[in-house]
This record gives sequence, C-alpha cells and structure tokens, in this order.
Amino acid sequence: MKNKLSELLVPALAALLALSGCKATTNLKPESAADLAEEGKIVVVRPDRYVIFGTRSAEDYLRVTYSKLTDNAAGLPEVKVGLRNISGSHWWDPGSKDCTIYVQTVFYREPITGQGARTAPVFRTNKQPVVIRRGDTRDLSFVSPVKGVRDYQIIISED
Amino acid sequence: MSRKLMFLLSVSLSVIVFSGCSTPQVSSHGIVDVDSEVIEGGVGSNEVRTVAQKMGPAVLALPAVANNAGVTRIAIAPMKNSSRFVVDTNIFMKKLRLELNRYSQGRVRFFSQQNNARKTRHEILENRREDEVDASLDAVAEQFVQSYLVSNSKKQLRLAVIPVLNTNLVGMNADSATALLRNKIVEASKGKVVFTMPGTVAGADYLLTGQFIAVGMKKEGMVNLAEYIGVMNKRIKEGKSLEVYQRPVNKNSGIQINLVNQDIFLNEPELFKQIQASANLRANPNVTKKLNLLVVSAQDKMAVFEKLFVIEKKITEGTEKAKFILSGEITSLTKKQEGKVADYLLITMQLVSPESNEVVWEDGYEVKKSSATGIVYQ
Repeated sequence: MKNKLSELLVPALAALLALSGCKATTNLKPESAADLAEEGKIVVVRPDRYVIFGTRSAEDYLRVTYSKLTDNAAGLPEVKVGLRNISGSHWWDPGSKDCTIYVQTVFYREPITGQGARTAPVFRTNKQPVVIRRGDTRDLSFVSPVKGVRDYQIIISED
Repeated sequence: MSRKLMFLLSVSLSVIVFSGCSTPQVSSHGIVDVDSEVIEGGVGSNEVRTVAQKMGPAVLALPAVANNAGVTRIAIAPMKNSSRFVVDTNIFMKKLRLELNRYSQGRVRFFSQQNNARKTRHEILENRREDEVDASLDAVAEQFVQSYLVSNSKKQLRLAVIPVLNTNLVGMNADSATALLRNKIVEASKGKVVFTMPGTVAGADYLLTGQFIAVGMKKEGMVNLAEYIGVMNKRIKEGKSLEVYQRPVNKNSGIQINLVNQDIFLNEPELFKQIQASANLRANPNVTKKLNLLVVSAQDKMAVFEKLFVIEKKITEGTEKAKFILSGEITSLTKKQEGKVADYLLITMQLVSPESNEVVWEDGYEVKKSSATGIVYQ
C-alpha cells in the first residue's frame, strides 16, 4: 500500500514542480485578430457590474447619432461624434438619471476597422468625462495634435 | 443518476462560461488611473489633463501658429485662481506646455521661467562674458589701428591712459577692460602706437579714456566727460595719484569710493550715502554695460576716436522675443445646501499679443461637480 502511494505521489509532485516552479515568466497571449477585426469605431467597455432590472451598461443606454473623422482648418485630425442618452425609455426603467461616461479617442495612422492586428496609435486622448442628460444628445469633438491620421476608435467607459 | 450528472455538467459549464467575465484580481498597490477621481469634488487630475488635451491642439490650430513658417515663442504668465479651491495653478500651464512641447515638433517654444535652470544659465553666461569682452576688445583695437589717425600717422603715436569714468557709481570697474585694450592696441599696431607708463601722461600725444555706462540704471550720476578730463588734468598737475579707487571707506560696507567721482560729485553726497546704505545699489546690476572709449588729443582735448561697445550684456529671460503670452484663470460658482455643495468650474486659457495687448485666442473648459462640503477644499 505504501509503495503504491509513493509510486503515485512522487511522479505527481515532480509534475507539479515541473509545471509551476521552473518558469519565471509566461507568455502573454495576443488578442485574437478576429476579435480585433470585429471591433467597431465606437466601443463600450464591459460594465463593472450587472443588475437584473434596469441597466448598468453604457451599451444599453447610449446611442451614436453620428461620427466622423475630418481634418480641421489647420489640418489636424478631428473626430466628431454625437452621443444620445436613451435611458428611461422602458417601462421598467422610470428612475433613470443623467449618465456620466468617460470618453477616450485613439487616433491611428493605419486603418484598424476590420483589420485585425493593429499598429501603435499616434495619439490617445485622456478619458474625458461627459455628462449626458436623460434623452439628451451631446456633440463631442476630439482633436489630435499629430497629423496623418486615417482611423480612430472611441472607447467609452463608466469610470 | 443521469439527471444528477446533467445538473453537475450544466453547473460546471456555467462556471466556465462566466469565469471569463470575472474581474481580474490585479493588485493596484494604491495606484489609480490618472484620469480617475478618487475623491469627489474640487479640481482634480482629470481637469488638468482634459484642459491640456483640449487646449493644446487648439493652440496648434491657430492660424498665427499653424501658418507660421518659423518658431512661435510663447511666454507664460501665472494663472489666476479665482475659485474657492486651493490649487497649484502652475500645474495647468505645466501640463499644457508638456503637451505642446511633445506634439508641436518644435513649432512652439517656451521660455525657461521660474525654474532651477536659471541659476546655472546665469553662471554659464557669466563665464561666456569674458570671451565676449575679449573678442570685443580685439575688434576695437583693430578698428583703432585701422583708423585714419593711426594709419595716416607718419610718426609713432604716444598714448597715455586716463582711468575710465564710472558714470553709474555701481561698483563696476571698467579699467581692466582698458588695460586689456591697451595691450591689444600695442600688439595690433606692431609698434606704431606706444603707451606711457601707467599713471603718467607727460609726453603723450593722445589720452585714452572713456566712460562706463550701465544702461537703464535708476541712480545715475550725470557727469560731463570734459569736466572729468579737466579734473584728471588738475590731479596730475597737483601731483595726485590717478588711482581711481581707494581702500574701503567704511569697513563694514566694504564700499570703495571713486576718488575722481568725489571730486566731481561734490554736490551729490546724498547719492553716495544711498549707495553705501543700499545693498541693491552696491550689487552688480543685471543691466547692459557699455564702455564708450575715447582717444582725446592731449593738446586741444578733441576726441579723435570714439567707440561704444558692450562689456556685459544684460541677462534676460528671452521673453522679449515672445510672440504671445499664455495666461489663464480658474473661476467658480458655488451653491451650498444641507451639507451638499455644487461647484461650477470654468477654466479658461488665452493667448495675448504683447504688442497690442489683444486677446488673439481664448478657450475654456467647464465642468460642474457636486460633493459633500467637508471634502471640497484641497
């Protein structure tokens, strides 16, 4: 019995040591190119918690009225986007209030939409707080001080 | 049994599916994102960053900046804080300057104002001055030797040095410059110009003298150079020394009184008292100092050669080259009720033309915050 136990334990311990203790680093997995290619120009990060009734995700109460990348008069890339707060439009959500979101725009020199793996952005704004009142639409503008931009992505988060 | 197995399998599947949505257990070590506001109310890092990122591209997009082929130099004026918050307003300017320096690719340049580099810069410029004075004296000596007076003279010219008059009474000594010049003239003329022994003028054809001028000094002694030369002549005739300075009159102050000036400024004893009493007047002032060199005929006291040159250049911050002044203000409106407070903040930035005092650009960032009254003062 003892022999059988040791026969099982020794290889198990050796395997455990080999798997856990011998590596100081592990490789970080790359983000799936297919997932990246699926991402649109305006994305919402995953909400920090879920609720059964009502909503916590910006995805549910925000709508995009327009978004466009142009060059301003000085030739600097400018992204203009319209965001609407549609919360409170359902009977189970009468207590909805103004929403505060953080909007960050990332400017790329190469097209990223539907492209998969990306190159580094040329400019990234900070997360700028935006308050949108219930049912209201806000027109936002983000300018990159770096020229030669061909694509962008707007990342919206709740904090 | 199969039902139990099915139940276990579905539970396991659910756990596997939802585990992908779980929050990563990453330690923060108390470090938070610079855009996040940990404490509600007041002026925070997000305002600083947002203002800089909105104003930076706006400044670069200005036609006066974007269409300027050269460098647009901007001086920074202190930001005014009219809000109820205690804020280091310099942080707004610093962040904006950082953004512009990072992304303007040298099209926008700022001056080093109010920082630690100033002292070192002054030391470097002070060290460079000696070389500059030397180069100036070389040029002056060459000009004198090439002048009509020297080049057309068929005989050897004999010059005597009369100590340079220190017009501004600021403890500066231009005599060292004159002594150097004397040496350089002798070298450049290759023996055509000779000097009498220091302190003597007998036998000289011309007198080398001058006037030291500290530009823009408030306390100036008005001296007539002809009168000065007359005083010097009188002192020579009386057998007095041509030494301009004597040992400190006042041991405590260490002030050296200009003897020649004493002869001239007999009616200005009050000025001497002020200089002795004031450390500011005794200190070497940061002004442009010029030396007006004169070669005067010993016979008729006519100046036959005159050259004004800079001994020391005023060390400026360089802001005189600024095309714009960047300034700003934080203003706020506050409402309080039952332990709650609402603050409307308006942070404005503007560019002002130094010449016309016109506001050539202005933009603002506004935000409204609500918080408890106890935590709003930073």
